[in-house]
Parts: sequence; structure tokens; C-alpha cells
Amino acid sequence: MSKIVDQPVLVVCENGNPKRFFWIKKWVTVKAVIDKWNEVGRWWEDDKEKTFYRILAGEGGVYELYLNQKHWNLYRVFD
Amino acid sequence: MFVHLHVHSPYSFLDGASGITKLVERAADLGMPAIALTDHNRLSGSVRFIKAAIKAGVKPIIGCEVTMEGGFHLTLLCKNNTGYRNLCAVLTQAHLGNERGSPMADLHTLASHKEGLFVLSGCRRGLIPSLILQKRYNEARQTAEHYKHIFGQNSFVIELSESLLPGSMSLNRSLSELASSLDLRTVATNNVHYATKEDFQIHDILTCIRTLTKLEDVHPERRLNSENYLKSWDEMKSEYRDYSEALYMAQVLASQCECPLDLRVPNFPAFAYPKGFKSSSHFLRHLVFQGAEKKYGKITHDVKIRLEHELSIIEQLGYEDYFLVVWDLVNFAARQNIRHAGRGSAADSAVAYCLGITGVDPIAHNLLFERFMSLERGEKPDIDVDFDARRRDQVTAYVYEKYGDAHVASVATYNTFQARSSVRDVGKAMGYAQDEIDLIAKRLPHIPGYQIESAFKSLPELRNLDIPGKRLKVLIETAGKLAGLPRFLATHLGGVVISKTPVTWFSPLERSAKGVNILQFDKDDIEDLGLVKIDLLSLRTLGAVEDSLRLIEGAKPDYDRIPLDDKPTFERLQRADTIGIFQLESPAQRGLQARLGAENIEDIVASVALIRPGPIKGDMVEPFIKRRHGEEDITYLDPRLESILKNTYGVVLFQEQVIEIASVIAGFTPGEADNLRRVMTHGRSFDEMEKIGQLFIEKAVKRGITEQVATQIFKCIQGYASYGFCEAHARAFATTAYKTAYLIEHYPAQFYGAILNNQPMGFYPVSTICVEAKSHGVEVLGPSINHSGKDVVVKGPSIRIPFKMISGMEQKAITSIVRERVNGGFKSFYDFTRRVKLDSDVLRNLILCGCFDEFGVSRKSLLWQVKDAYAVRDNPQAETLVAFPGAEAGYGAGDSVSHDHGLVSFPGQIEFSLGEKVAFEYRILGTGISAHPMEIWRSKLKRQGFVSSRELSSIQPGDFVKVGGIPVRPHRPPTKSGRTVVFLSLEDESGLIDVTCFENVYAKYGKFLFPGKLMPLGVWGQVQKRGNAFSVTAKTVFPLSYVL
Repeated sequence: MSKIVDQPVLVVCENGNPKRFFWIKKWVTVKAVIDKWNEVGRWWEDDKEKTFYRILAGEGGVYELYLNQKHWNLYRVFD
Repeated sequence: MFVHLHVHSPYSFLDGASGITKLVERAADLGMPAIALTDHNRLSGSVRFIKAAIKAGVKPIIGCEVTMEGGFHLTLLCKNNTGYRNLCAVLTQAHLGNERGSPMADLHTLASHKEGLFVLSGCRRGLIPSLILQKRYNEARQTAEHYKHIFGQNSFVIELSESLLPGSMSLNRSLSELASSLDLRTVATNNVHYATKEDFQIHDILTCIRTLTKLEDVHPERRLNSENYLKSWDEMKSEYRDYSEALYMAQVLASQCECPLDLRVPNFPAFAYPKGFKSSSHFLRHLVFQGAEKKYGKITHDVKIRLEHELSIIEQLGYEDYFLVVWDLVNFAARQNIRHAGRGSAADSAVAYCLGITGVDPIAHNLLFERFMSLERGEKPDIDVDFDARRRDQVTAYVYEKYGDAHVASVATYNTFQARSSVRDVGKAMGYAQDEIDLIAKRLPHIPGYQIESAFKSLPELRNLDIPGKRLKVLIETAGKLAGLPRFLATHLGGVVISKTPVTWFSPLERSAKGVNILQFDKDDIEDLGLVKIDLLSLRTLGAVEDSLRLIEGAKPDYDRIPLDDKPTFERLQRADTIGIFQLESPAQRGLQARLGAENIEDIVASVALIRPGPIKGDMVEPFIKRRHGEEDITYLDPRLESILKNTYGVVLFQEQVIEIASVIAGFTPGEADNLRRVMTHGRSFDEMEKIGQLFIEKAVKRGITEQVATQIFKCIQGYASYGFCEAHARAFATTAYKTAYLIEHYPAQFYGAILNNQPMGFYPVSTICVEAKSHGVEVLGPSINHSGKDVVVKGPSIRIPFKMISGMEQKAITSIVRERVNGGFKSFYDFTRRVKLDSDVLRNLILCGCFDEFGVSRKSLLWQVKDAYAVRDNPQAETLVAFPGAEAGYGAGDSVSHDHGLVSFPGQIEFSLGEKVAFEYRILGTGISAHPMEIWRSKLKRQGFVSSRELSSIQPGDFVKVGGIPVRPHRPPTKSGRTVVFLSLEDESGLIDVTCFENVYAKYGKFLFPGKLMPLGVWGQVQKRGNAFSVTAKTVFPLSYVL
């Protein structure tokens, strides 16, 4: 199960990949990038391509973040 | 350096968004040494790809992404020619062994044709990757082992094909581990579907078109991102940083693949000449001189010299067999009485004339053989022969029978996106409503897709469409980007290849919609492959000629010996009474005939050549007419032009003259002259013509001509950057034009009937032909259930509309009616429905177009009885179904003769109005039988001062008139000024009124001239008289409904 969040978050990167992000008043550390993909969205309405990261957090949780231009969002949280 | 080994071009049909040249040039720009082409299940792009790659200095690798049984993909790459032949065999089985449009190769066939092929495990839709994605690891491993066993460790390679999709990271990791555990190699690809990231949008639209989805819809085949472009070495390195060996392997495999095709190696079969002859040449000479004796009576020195010259070139170039094959086909057609006529530049050949392939004597008309074949060009000759459209398939069948299925196949064509089709398809994908799409598409002229944007800017009928600007902008821009991309493979109209080797050594075969086997290449590719195409074209005019001769009762004219100086025929041409006459019926031709006053066949040859974009834009029409009538001096810019242009009054009319001028005035070499010929016939590029112009002037000046004169001479020939005819072709067409004029003059009922039989043909719709027939004293009778046939029936001066013209009537239905009539004519509507079962929609059409009028029952009454009529037929006891008094008179027909007259009238439902009847007839037959719509409105229009086509000639030129009618063929031909002028005809009950709308009128009333639907128009304008022809120059155009 997962929950769509889709909220802006603060992300710190290393070598282009997220290293940690700030969520509910605390930093969540990225242990591993499980998957990474791009999505174009509704290009005919001028949507820009987003890069999605599915990450395994140090505390064991699984999250999806995406980078839209220069802005990071937490997209989904897996239970 | 990386090499892309999995690349789709537009020949993946709606799954490749960048042209081959763009793909190859990008690979070259990225410094890649090679690139592969791997379209879906076809090799159609191969020839163009090889040529483009060689030009760009990149090694071409040919391959294919093959769909295997179960729908899984494998990527195959040809190591060499053996691999290519094997790939052709695999693809042929995939196409011919399955339902059309769903090719699937079977593993057994692939296994037995594995030699010379690399087999890559494929994209996500490959069996192995898809098993891994489903976490069925053991099955994936077993499959990989199986493939390794079949194809060998060195030839089966695990493909890492995609990155940046959900699951790609783990998929690539699993594939890599699998390869490692089985000691297989991995190779990185990018499953390229377009050249640059920006092209993704075109690909997405194409995918929507292919999957019949809208942009707003989700479909598994729509790509999630724009990563499938031709990535650079750095980009690939970055994405496959953990798989360096797979990246390296792309280059290794590329180095082990060689280009599998040698282009332009001749592959034409030897003709099986009869015993007693030493060679094909020997037999050809025999036939040619035998034919010459028949044609010329006595073979004079000049004839012999000419024939020897031609034969020598044919022999030196090795095309004796080609001529013999074409002779054999024409000979077959003659034996079977299949009407045929050679056309095109082949009419420049005396050999072709003596063999009976063409009907024009090139010696008598001093036609240049080199226009057709020359040693300098060394090109394959192209002989086009027209056959009676309905019997052309018999000739094709003969070819298959004679040379064998394995050696014969039809040529394909690539249907490409044009303006209308682009707008329709993109509009659907964008979610436009059907009526919005119709509105735009029908108003768009038939132009190439790349002109869409300029059309929207310049054409008045495309302005103010009431569609939001942004939305329309996306539609126009996207539709423009699809311009020229191939949509699907279709069958060439008449091109057949006969090959010495089995055709599948060069091309896979697939099945066309008509069920014939077609190659995967078009005519240009075929030529590059060394194959020779023979054009077995179909010409409906020849069918009409054949039909008219058949319909003539009693003594028939000998078509081949129709006198070429028939006075009534030329008088007809002088009256511009040419509707229905081959090549001379368009408004422009009628206008020309009215002024030219043709007196002999030479005038017709000139007519055919004059009304072409080249001579029109080159402003050659007016000078020709004036000089022809001695109203203008015949002058030459250089005295040496006189010998070239004397016969055409100093006007450049034919391509042959252009070539001769270039040689005589500028001293063009054969190669330069040939380049000029190519630009005239193929290139038609303004830039190319400009370059040739510079060369022409430069060389002419060196030969002592002033720059001014050289420039003027070149201007005269520059118009030929557009289409112009060669003289031989014009002569061939002119002969047919004259003969059809002769037939229509002397046998009008038969020829108009034959035109109706062979629809669609010619310039005009059925309704115009019927109006013309009536105005020439031919009675046009409506369809009759007892008197119509499949084809037109002619009786005296009347023609009867045939069943096949009725909308929805299929051959089976026609046959059942005609066959049943043998048992006695139908006595009533119910007698008919009892004896013949038809689809009720078709039966309604029969009623509405008057097929049952002869029973004296109103169409409206019969329409009400359709359902009950079949109920009674199916249940003879159901007479109680009769729901209105008197209707029972028709029921149970046949048994009770006294009731069998079908004189049923529906109380209160007497009949449709005349207007309603005519409207139905137009919809069902394409013409009015009960009346012409203008006849119905005439009295009203007359009261308002409208004049008819019959009355127009009594109006003083310069006076203003109001005219009305049904618009026929509005079009915007090229003009010498370059301004847009719309020509159209208004059809009324007695003929046509030609109308000219200059740019200012068009700008104002374009939406009425091109409304996208049938709309009777009124025109107020000024009467013009040119020669014998009257026309109207429009000042105002309006829908006729405004005044009715």
C-alpha cells in the first residue's frame, strides 16, 4: 500500500542522486536508490519531464521523490 | 565509441518518428562509426538507410525487430548477405504464415535460418525480459539456455535495451546476472525510436494514431518518457555506467556485421527465346525487323539505321531480355483482346513501336531515342503500358504463371502523411470532434504535409474556423511535423518485379489487402536493389473505349484505324465541346480548345503538352496560340533555336526540346543534359534548377552568347522545373485523346454510357456526364429493376443507369437480380422481394432511386412496405401483417396473379416531392434522374434574373450576370503570376458555366468556394468571351440557398 503525498520537500543530493530529504520535521536518509525513471507527463499542456526516484530510507521506509525542473517533491510513501 | 544496434525508423510505420537521413546524420555527428536499422518486421527502410549511411560515412547494419509467436520481440542483425537472405525468409514466413497485419515468426523457422544472424534478446517485450519483469526467473533462464543452444553462444546476446523506465534498473541487473551465469555476452542498446529528445512528441502522436487512442488516454504502448532517442556516447556511458562490457559489445558486434546488400547489381531473368535463335538479341532483332515490315511496309535506309542504333544501345546495356519480356506481355494482351497502350518516354523508341509496345512512330515524328535510353545514363529503361483497368489483373496473372510465384512479386508503395491525412489523424489523437476534423480537412487542398502551416496562413477558407487558437496551433504544428512520414505499406498501382533469383533473396514478402504478395520495397528501392520493375498500369479510359466499341451495334469502327482527319471530330474540339474526352476535358483544356481551334493531330499533341504546370508557369500558352494563328511573329532568341523549336512555333513545349537547347546553346555534356532531365522529371526543385541555370548561362556565354540572351533562353526553359511532358508521351496521349473524341462525336450514347460504366474516371462527376449526355441528345434513363444491367444498357439514343451505380449495391446482389430475371421479369415489388433477398438498406436505395417506378407505385409507399415485404417472403402465411387497405394486392404474389400488380398506394402518403426525389437520387446515384436540382429552382431563379448555361452565350461579353449551379471541381492551378486564382464550373440542367475567381474574390468568398460539403452556389460577375468559350469572372459568390 502507498499514499500519494505530492508535496514539495527539501532534498540534498550527491552525484545527482538524492542523499537525504526533509519530511515531517526530520531528515530522512537515503540508503539506496531502488529505481529511477523519467516521465514526460502532459507535454501538450506544456508539462515538463520529471525524474522519479524510488528510494529505500535508512529507517527502512520506501519513498518516491521526483525532480521537476529544479524542484523536488515527495510523491508517494509506501507502507 | 558506441554504436546503436536497435534503431527504428519511420518504416516501423507509426513507431518511428525521425527520418532515416536525420537518424544517420545524427549518428555521424555523434562520431559513431556505424548504426543499425531494426524496424518492426520489415526491411522497407533498408535501401534508403544504406544509401544515407554510405553518404554520411557511417557503416550501415541491417536488422529487424521481429515479432515472434506469442507477440514477443527479438532483435536480429545481419552479419552478412547470408544473414540478410535468412532474415528475408524468416520475415516472409512471419507475414505469409499469419493473418495479414499480424506477422509472427516462429522459432523453428528462425532456427533453421540462423546462419549469418546475431540474435539479441530484445526490448522489454522480449520473452526473456518480460519473464524477468514477471519475476519468473527460472523460465527466463530456461529460455535463455534454449536460445543459446539454438543460436550458439557467439550469436545469441542478451540485450540491455532500456533505461530510465520503472523497473529498468533491476531488469538490467537481472539480465546481466543471467548472461553472466550462462556465459553469454550482453550488449547495450537504447531502443531508439527518434533521433532527438524533441522528436518524442511526434512519436507520442504516432503511437496514439497507431493505437487509436487520444492524448488524454493511457495506453501501454505509449512511452512514459522521451529517452528513446539516439543518445551520445557520453549519455550511454552515464546510463550504463555499471555495464561497460555491454557498451563495448555494441561496437564489437557492429564490427562483425557487414553491409549485406550490394546495390544496383542487375537481377533480371533471361527471356526463354524459342528454338532456332542463338540468343535473346537474335530473337529481339528478328521481332523488331518483322514488326518494322508490318509497320513501315518497306524498311528504308533511315528506318534500318534508327533500329540498328537503338538495338545497339539496348544490347550494350544488356536490356534485350527486358524488351522481350514486355513484348511478351503486350503480345499476350493482344491475343486476349485486352486493350493496351504504351505511354511515357518508351514512345521515343522505334524498337518499342515495332514490337507493338507503343503506338507512336518515333521516326516519323523525329523523337529522340536518347530521352528514353542512353549509353551515358546507362539507366534501366522504364516502359509503362496502360491496360484496360478491368482486365489488367489478367496480364498480371500471366506474369506469375510464366515466371513462377517465387520470381514475381508486386512492388509496394509507402503511403505517406499528406496535409489532409495528417490533420485527420492528429486531430483525432488530440480529441477533436469528427465534424471539426471534417471541416478543416475538407477545406485543406491536397498538398504535402509540410505546406500545412503556409496553407493556414494563406487560404481564406481556413481562417476563422471557430477553433481556439492554441489548440489549432498545436494541431497545425504537429500535423506539419508528420509530413512525409510513411503511414503504411500499400501496393503499387501496377509495378511488378520479375527476378532471376527468388525475390525473397532481396525482400521479404507480405500479403496486400487484395491478397497478392508484395515486396517490402517501393519502385525506387527496387531499382537500387538491381531489380527491374514492369509497370502494368490500368487506364479506365481504355476500359471506356472497349465498352463503347462493345455497345455499338452493327458495324463497329476499327479503333486502330480511326481516321485522324475526321472533320466533325475537329469541329467538336473547336467548339470546346470536350467533356468526356481523354486529357482534353478540364476547364483549362476547354478554354484552350476554344481559342486554339485544333485542326490536326499536331494541335492535339501541343494541347496535351501545353496545359501542364511547366508551360503554364513558363507563360507559353498565349504565345503558342497567337503564333499558331499567325497573330504574332515567330522569333528566336538565337538562330540555332529555329531548328529545335520550328514545329512548335518557337515555343518550348517538350522536354526533348529543353535538352536539345541545353546541348546546342550551352554545349551541355550528356551528363549535364541528363541532370537537367532529372530535374525536369524527378527533382522539380527550384534550387537545383537555379544551379543548372547558372551553369547554362556560364557555358552559353563562353560559346559567344551574351549573358542577357542566355538568361532569356534559360528563363524559357526554367518553367520545366515543374512538370512538363516529353513529346513521346504527349503524342501517345494525344492519339488516345483524339480517338476518344472521335468515339464521343460519332457514338455519343455508347461513349457516355461507357464513361458511366468505368467510373470513377476523368475530371467530372457522374452528374456532369449525365448532363452532358442529355445536352447531346442522349436520353439518360433511371435504373429499372427489369431493364437495368450490371453495366449501362444502350438502346438507340438512350442509356440506362446500371445497377452498379446504385450506392451499396454489391456484385452478389446484382448477380442475384439479373440471374432471377432469366426466370421472367419482375411483375411487382412483392414479386421482386419474394424472389430476391437483398439487404434492406440496399432495397431502400433501389426504391429511392426509382428502380420500381415502372410498377406505378409511389416510392414513398414502397418504402413503408420494405419490412412487411420481407416478413411475407419469410412467412407466406403472414398476410395478416398487412396494415393498410389495398396493400394486400401485392402480397402472396406469384400464386395469385390477379393480385400481382403491386399497385399499392399508402393512403395519405402519395409521393415524395420532386426536390426530395432528386435529393435521394443524388445521394444514391450521384446524379438526378427525375430532374436536375437547377431545373426545380429555375423559375424562381429566372424571376431574379439568373441566366442558365444555355443562355450565357447570348449575353454580351462585358455585361454582368447572375448564374447558379452545383460547383464542380473548384481548384487552384499554378498561374504564371504566382497569384492564387480559383477555377470552378457551375453545373446546371443544360451544362457547365466556367467561373474564374481572382485572388481578391477568393480571399472574400473562399469559405463558399471550398465549404467542405456540397453547396449549390450563385455567382454574380462579368461575362468573358475567349475564342468560342464563354465564362464568368466572379465579383460575388454566395450560397444559392440565400436566394431560394
